[in-house]
Amino acid sequence: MRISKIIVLLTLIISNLFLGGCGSESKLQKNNSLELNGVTVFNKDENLVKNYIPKEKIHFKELVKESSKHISIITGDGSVRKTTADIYLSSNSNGVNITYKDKIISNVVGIYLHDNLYSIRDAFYDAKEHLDSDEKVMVILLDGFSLNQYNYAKKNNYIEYISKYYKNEALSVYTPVTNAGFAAIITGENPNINGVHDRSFRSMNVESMFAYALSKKKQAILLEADIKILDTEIEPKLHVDSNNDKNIDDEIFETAKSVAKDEYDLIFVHFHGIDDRGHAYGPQALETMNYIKQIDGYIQELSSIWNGPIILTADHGMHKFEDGGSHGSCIQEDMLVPYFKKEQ
Amino acid sequence: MHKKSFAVICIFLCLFVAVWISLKLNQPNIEEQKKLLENSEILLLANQQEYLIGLNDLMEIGEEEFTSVLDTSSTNPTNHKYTGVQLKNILSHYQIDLDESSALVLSGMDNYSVAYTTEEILKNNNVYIVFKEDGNYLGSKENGGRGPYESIVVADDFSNRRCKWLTRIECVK
Repeated sequence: MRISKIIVLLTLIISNLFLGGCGSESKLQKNNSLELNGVTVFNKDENLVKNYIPKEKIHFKELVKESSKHISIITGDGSVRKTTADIYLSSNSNGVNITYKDKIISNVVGIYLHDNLYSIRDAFYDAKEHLDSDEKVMVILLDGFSLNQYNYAKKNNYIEYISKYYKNEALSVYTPVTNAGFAAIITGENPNINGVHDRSFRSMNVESMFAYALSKKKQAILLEADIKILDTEIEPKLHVDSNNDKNIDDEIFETAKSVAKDEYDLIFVHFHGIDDRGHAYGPQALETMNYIKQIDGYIQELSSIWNGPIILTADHGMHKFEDGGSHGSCIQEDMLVPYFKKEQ
Repeated sequence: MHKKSFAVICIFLCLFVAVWISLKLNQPNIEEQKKLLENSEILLLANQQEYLIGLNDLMEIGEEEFTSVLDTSSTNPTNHKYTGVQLKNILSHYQIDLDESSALVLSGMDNYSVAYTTEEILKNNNVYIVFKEDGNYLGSKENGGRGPYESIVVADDFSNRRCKWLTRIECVK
């Protein structure tokens, strides 16, 4: 009897250890499934409803009174579906769902109200159009430059040159981080199609503008900072902070000026400094605005050398966070960026 | 023996076997990892010369232990103990002069690349080529590891300038 009790005790201890080993995974799964991300409704100017989780089925017009021609529904997997405001919102344990025309869209993270839908993906199609017309094209990616920053910089005369070429606001992608935004710009597809959802993804499921240029026997170059962000069809030219000024954009700018005189048909330039300062000081801090002014000067100088059209946009925006800035949420500040186009 | 005791012994034995098998399956096969590492090499390109560097070469140059932060997109930052060789010592071993290089570009088998300045490489105890984390070999891409070799910049607190699955180091002007 005594032996039996010891065995039962040992069995319980081992069972506990065994089950405990699986516990961490179970806990993680449980935590993940409990993450109820609400939906944020925004237009190009502001967030109208933030992180909303409907307790019962509700018509969209009961939630938001503002009228616009269209809405775009943004889901957690990065898809964007354009529809009208005649939709119903509900929720379950997996998040917010939308019902429209007998269809159910699950895992909705954002609703964007607009009259016309412009996207950072347009850069791909604009660049392609120029290549198809046997025209050279330069695409400039201003990392982390939000629409709000642009409006503030324009109002306060920090961005006199490129503001002349402002075309429209553009919707970034969910998740609004560099890998996903960059992939959307160069592939013309949202993350649910190109496969790049966040920082942990580097391979694209579809071809980029670089592959398209190569297929047309065009010469293309990608100027990057010190990290190859995506597994693109051409190897990027990496740069380091040679002059030790804690900034790599100046080295990228020097290369851009040099290659602008060469025989490239597609030049893609990725400037990182606005994002760096937005994170460090805040999106509308003086340091960030002064840097935007510096980038404006870079682009003016590049324009004087480059004999072709220039497309400029950003991968994602930025919101104020603590003493600096952050991004990665489906909110107006992070999801809307400016789009510029300078014809020849 | 009492039936109840017999049943309890059977349950105990079954659970013991299950736990033992589970532990065995999850335990990293150190010898296998080491063999993989011994067959893996890094291609070093400098001054129009090519050098193949394997585990024995690294050990001959001199392995060191150090602590660095690992911060991935899915985990919080945590300190780990690494075993590896300083990149500057590798370059010195092969008598590679960095006077004519502005940077070194390190690439992984997934086509990822990262550039390091010569200045940060020449800084003491800063850039390492590692093969062990917390006493275990890093493991290959196939078995979910970040090795056999990975580059680490100790000064990089966000660990986003590492190059896992490292296969190539090139000195560029």
